[in-house]
Amino acid sequence: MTKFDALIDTLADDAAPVPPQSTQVGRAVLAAIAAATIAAVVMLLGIREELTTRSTDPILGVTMSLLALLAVAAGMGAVRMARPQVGASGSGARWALAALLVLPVIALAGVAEDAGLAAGLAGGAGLRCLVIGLFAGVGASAFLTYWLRRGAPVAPERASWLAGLAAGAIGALAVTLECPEDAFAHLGVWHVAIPLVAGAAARMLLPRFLRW
Amino acid sequence: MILADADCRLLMDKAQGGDAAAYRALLGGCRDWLLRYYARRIVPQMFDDLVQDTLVSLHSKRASFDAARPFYPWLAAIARYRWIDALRKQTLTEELHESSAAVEHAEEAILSRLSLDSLLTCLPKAQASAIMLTKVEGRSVQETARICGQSEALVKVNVHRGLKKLAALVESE
Repeated sequence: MTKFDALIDTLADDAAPVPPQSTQVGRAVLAAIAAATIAAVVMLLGIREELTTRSTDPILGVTMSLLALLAVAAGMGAVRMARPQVGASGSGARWALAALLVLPVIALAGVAEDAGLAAGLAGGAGLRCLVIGLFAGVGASAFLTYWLRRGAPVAPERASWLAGLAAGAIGALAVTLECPEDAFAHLGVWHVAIPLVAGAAARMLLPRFLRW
Repeated sequence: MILADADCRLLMDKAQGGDAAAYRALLGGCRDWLLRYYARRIVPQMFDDLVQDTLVSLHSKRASFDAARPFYPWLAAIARYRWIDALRKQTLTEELHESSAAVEHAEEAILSRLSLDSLLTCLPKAQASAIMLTKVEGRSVQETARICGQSEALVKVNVHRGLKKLAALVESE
């Protein structure tokens, strides 16, 4: 027991005050970054015309709602994962992602049935939205990386995946507000691809920086 | 002495404010809890290093504790994380396999197996067996392969995949 006592004495002597890492504060900061991201994209690139005329296409509303749902669920989960806890369920993001994935399935089924809808899959406009969306998510991604590194994620792979999904969903939401494309195939495939690509990239790159 | 959860929360709250005496008392209680916890989850030879590593982790990550939440689920998550990390790093040697210590601590080893059994139920049988034999009983890969009827390469793959799955279960199970 002696060696533990010596270690405990050493650690206790090093008991400098540390500000507790509040999950509520983390979520509030992430929400502020999301709002700032959306505001910046709209200010720089303008806003989708139909949003200003209040003639919103239901498909656009559904897409934005599902992206927002994923951003909230994954963002809340990622922030929470900085605090270790046995018994955490964290299935919200999984269901939000499942709901979002219905969009590309329906969009691609529509394209398969009516080749005329394939124009919405055009790479030029799609890649533009993908790149802008990924860039727009950088702020949220940077914050979540900082937050998780400061905390103690005990499942770094899952935390990375959630952080990427959240950042991508925030970026996708921002780009959906400014993107002039109306085609369901475009929204359902390219805009949904943004959180998926961001999540996959974070899952591959982030864990090494989150292990402790 | 194992402290009550409410006492731990209070002590950690004070420790986060820089109270060294409260922190010392908390660390003492955590040490006792960890000794019991790992006694059921690791070969006896690894107790000391693992308890020390976990106490140091607790210290370096104490800001992540929220005093409004229960203390032991937080500590258990850190302990599991360090435990899986230790299993990953564990280097199997013939000395470990042939060590008399493994025989002397047969009772602890049984307890260790029982506890791991409960955790390993979430894994496929082949992965659980490979981890049990190599990481808990300290058998060589060759011997494990013979017992399980798997190739040596498959034993290594099963250990790797099993530990990866266990790591994903740290918080949820």
